Amino acid sequence: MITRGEIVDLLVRDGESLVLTESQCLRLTQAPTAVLELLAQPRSTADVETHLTTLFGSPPEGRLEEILAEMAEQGLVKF
Amino acid sequence: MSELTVHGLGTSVRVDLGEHIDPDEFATAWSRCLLDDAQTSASASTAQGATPVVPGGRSMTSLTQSITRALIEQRAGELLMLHAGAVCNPTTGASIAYVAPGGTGKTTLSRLLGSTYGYLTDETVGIEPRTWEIKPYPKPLSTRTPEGGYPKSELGPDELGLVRAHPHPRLTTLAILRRTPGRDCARISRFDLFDAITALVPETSSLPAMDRPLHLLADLHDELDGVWLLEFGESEQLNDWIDERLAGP
Repeated sequence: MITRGEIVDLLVRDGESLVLTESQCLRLTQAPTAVLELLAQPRSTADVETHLTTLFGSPPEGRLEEILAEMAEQGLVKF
Repeated sequence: MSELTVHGLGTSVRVDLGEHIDPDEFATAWSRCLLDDAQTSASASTAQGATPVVPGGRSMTSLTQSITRALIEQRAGELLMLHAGAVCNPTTGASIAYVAPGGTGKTTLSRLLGSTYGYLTDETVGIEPRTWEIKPYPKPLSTRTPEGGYPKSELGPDELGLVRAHPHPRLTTLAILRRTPGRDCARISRFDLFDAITALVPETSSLPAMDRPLHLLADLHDELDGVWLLEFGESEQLNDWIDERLAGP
């Protein structure tokens, strides 16, 4: 399952967002914003993929894993 | 042992001057933050916890830094605290806070504006969420010696003849300073919401301790109708614009 990382606050405007952790404030584009919103509750990778496909269409091969890996690196999601 | 109570950001700390700080010099520099005995008792009787004691440093500059840290720590989670200078219209309380990293013009601008407007602080602006009332911290102004570098000298707002603030100043204009030496005129623009918050976050203290801090900054942005970027070379270039922002009945 995937869960949110240690996020202090998430501010969403027009599908994009700012996310604040204890150490940084990051600006996120639509896809990672949608991931964080979905992860208000823990979800499987398949749930995340379905959600993003519904919102934005099928992602290119490997793109979802790339997004999740970048988010994990920033401490925004945990596996 | 000489101990005094210093008030700022809507709270108090006791300061033990130790052996290196001259009490008279301290009292002059901190004249607008010192509580008298009666005020100290009242403050102690209403305080929820014990008033922290700041130990005396080896210099006024290091002591100022310790006092600031102690006051900030006291208000963590309660006030939105910005690394900023601020002045207010002494009649209406309308206030401008100008955010900038250390050494980039806050004190110089505070000294200049404080000769016309009420001096609130040159370093840390504490703002009450939702009411946007500023809790003044009229500390001494830390200025570098003519030789530059350290130690800085600490000059009290009364020594410098700065104007006293309105009793209930309220933030009405928020700006981020960007000083470029040699620039010959000011350029003033407005940030969009995300750029404003991204620029403000690194210049806050204890922000994650606040309740929904990004939403708080967004509310402030909306309340003030935006956050301004002031690009300038010399402080005087901002006078007219600040006069306009603080003017009013």
